[in-house]
Amino acid sequence: MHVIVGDAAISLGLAGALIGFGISIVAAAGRRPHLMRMVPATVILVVLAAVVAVITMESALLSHDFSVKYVAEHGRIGTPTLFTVATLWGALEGSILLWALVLVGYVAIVAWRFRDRLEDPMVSWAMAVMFGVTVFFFGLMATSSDPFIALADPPDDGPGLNPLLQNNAFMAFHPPMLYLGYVGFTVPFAFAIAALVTGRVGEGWLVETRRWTVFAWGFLTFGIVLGAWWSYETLGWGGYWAWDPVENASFLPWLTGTAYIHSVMVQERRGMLRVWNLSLVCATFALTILGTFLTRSGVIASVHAFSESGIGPTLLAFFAVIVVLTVGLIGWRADALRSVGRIDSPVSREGAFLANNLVFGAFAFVVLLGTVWPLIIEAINDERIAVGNPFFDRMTMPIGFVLLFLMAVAPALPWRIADGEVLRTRLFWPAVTGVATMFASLLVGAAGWAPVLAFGLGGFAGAAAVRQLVLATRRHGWRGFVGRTNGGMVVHLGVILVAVAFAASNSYLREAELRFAEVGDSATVAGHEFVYRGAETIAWPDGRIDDQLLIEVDGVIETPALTTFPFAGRVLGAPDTRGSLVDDVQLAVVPTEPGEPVVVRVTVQPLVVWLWIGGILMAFGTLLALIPGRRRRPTAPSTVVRAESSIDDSREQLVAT
Amino acid sequence: MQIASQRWAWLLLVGLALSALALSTTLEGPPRTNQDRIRSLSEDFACPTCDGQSVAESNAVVAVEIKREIGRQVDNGATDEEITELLISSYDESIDLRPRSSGLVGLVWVLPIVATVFAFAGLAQVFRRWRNEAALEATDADAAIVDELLRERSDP
Repeated sequence: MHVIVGDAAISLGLAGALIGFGISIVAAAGRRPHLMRMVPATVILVVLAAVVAVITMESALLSHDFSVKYVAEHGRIGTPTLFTVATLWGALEGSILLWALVLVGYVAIVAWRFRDRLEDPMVSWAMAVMFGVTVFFFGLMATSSDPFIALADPPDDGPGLNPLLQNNAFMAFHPPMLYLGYVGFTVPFAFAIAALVTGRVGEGWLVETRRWTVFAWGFLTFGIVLGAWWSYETLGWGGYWAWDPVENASFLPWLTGTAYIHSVMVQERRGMLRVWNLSLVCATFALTILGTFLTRSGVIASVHAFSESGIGPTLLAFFAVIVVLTVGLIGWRADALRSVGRIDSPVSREGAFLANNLVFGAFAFVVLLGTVWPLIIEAINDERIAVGNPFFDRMTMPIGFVLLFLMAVAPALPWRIADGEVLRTRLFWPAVTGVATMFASLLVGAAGWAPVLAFGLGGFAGAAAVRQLVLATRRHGWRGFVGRTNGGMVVHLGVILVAVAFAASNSYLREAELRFAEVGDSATVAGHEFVYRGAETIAWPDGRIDDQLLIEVDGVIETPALTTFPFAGRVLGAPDTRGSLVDDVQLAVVPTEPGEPVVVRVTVQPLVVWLWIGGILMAFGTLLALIPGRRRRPTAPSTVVRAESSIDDSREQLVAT
Repeated sequence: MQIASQRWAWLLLVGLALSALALSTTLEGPPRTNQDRIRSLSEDFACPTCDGQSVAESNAVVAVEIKREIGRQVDNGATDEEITELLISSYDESIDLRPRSSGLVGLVWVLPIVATVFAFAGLAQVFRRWRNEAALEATDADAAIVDELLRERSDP
């Protein structure tokens, strides 16, 4: 029953998306705009199809209908309801279904938002692109990634979701957040392609999609932070970011998206960087597809695993189509894209944004290269190598310093050209704060130049952001916190907290393995007192068994455990973390034979909690940035300096031509 | 306000920042224990059976075994190089998460730097071209036209 309804919904969705795609193309290219009046009906059709498909899958999961292959492979009777619901995005076919649902959600909102302008060729083309992407995802589900496959001989029970994904509620929310971000970049991409096709490559499409981009970026950021949080809370090695291919896949579009959010301002104000911005938008979307390909095709494990997965070649082909389409269109519109005007000085807001973009570009290049390098080497030399943490840490550290420095200086830079005097005045107190932060960190025991430099630049950049916010609120009251610029400063503060916490927790991590032979044994690590208070076993109603140790940390009992998942035949660590604003103590049980002393791995890291506070601040700042701020007059696209004879002001006066 | 524009104030700040950095390199953090060394070494090696995880992250059987081996070696006073050699010889090169810096593999270290240098050189070139183009200056006649247009705009 579920299979029939689900398959019908997917076929219906595919048909609806194909019709919508066809109509939009004919309406836009064939100059028959009235056809667009049929688009709302097709949008309703695909939304209905996706919703029905998702409800059907959830119903199959919740009712444990093991005649559906996906449920048989990933479901289990007795799994807590939250995780049963989350099983939808716990494996490949289900996550494609979730992707499709989010995508048609965006299609529907775009269609609603532009309902009065559907006949505008720009909107028609954008709808065509979005329907095209929808066709692709429904097509995947209709072919190589079908979530509704019937099993002739259904089992009585399934193995359940990977236990790693089951022991923390974060896991239930991390993928949907990430997908809201990932998929959201389809909207600016669609409008970028529409702008290229229609030749209206001016600033119109940017303004149309600005909020969509920031919205998608906010969710992507939050999704990444949630993922790091989950990793920290469940893996028990004190780490939260390991540069593994899956993490890199989510980080790459974040990097190009962040670059775009900044460089878009240069185009809005000055009408410049058109090709660059179009390329960034398209690259961001393409990287979401490439990331999905890298992580879902098995190619990362080995290039030779690539052909074994059905979905790999399809995703790679789709990625190629996007790249060829974008590059081709940009080449075709090269003349229209040539922008007027120039940037007067590298020491200006525009100059800083350019530097920002190059640095983010370098960052993305390092991450992409490091991720695919083992594949390239294997393909060329048939040699297996690995690229991991040490490479990424060393290569990205200088990039981080440059970004913190830019974050400190750029907000103080005026557009067009900076006056040395003005700059010195604006940057003085932030610089004092930065230097003071360095000495303060030395006083509390910081050592090593890299973390101390990171703290100093963090103080510098943080004070610069606070300065902007103070100035803005003095001038505009509460409105000094909203709008793109001010919200952006709040995001900066979040980024700085994350950077400082990252530097501190990585540089000053302390690890120890404590052996306790008897109850009452105690030990001290990095100023924290640990006392062994015994062990106990808890059997949970869903079948999990926790063998937990009672460890007193600074007088409070913590309970790290080993969790046995009998149904999956696995034992996993369930670490316990005791956090404070100063440092985190994480305890993880190391498995030992019965009768031997119990072993607890302790990691102590300063400031970890500020990573999550910073992440939340970033999300909050994104919300503030989405609230409309004060309107400002756009700066004219070009400048000429007045000849000396007509300068009536002692300062250089800039006149719009 | 005045102090901020003084050159000496900025020189002092830069001097203080540099001395803070110099001080930070001489200061010693808490003593580095064998366990800390084991930890940082185990982040440098891949768990052979898990995709994309280091030995430090993974709780897989083989990862735990490698961690024990690193522990034994560290306790015996082996250097980082000796431990790396030992692990590569008992597994293979794909266990080392630090790509070697020579040959084709080594390009991974070089390419990003080359690309970044080229990008910034390109940007500098563009700025030089822009500056040369900027020789254009507005004459009084141009200014008069602008003033007139601005007047028209302010009182239509």
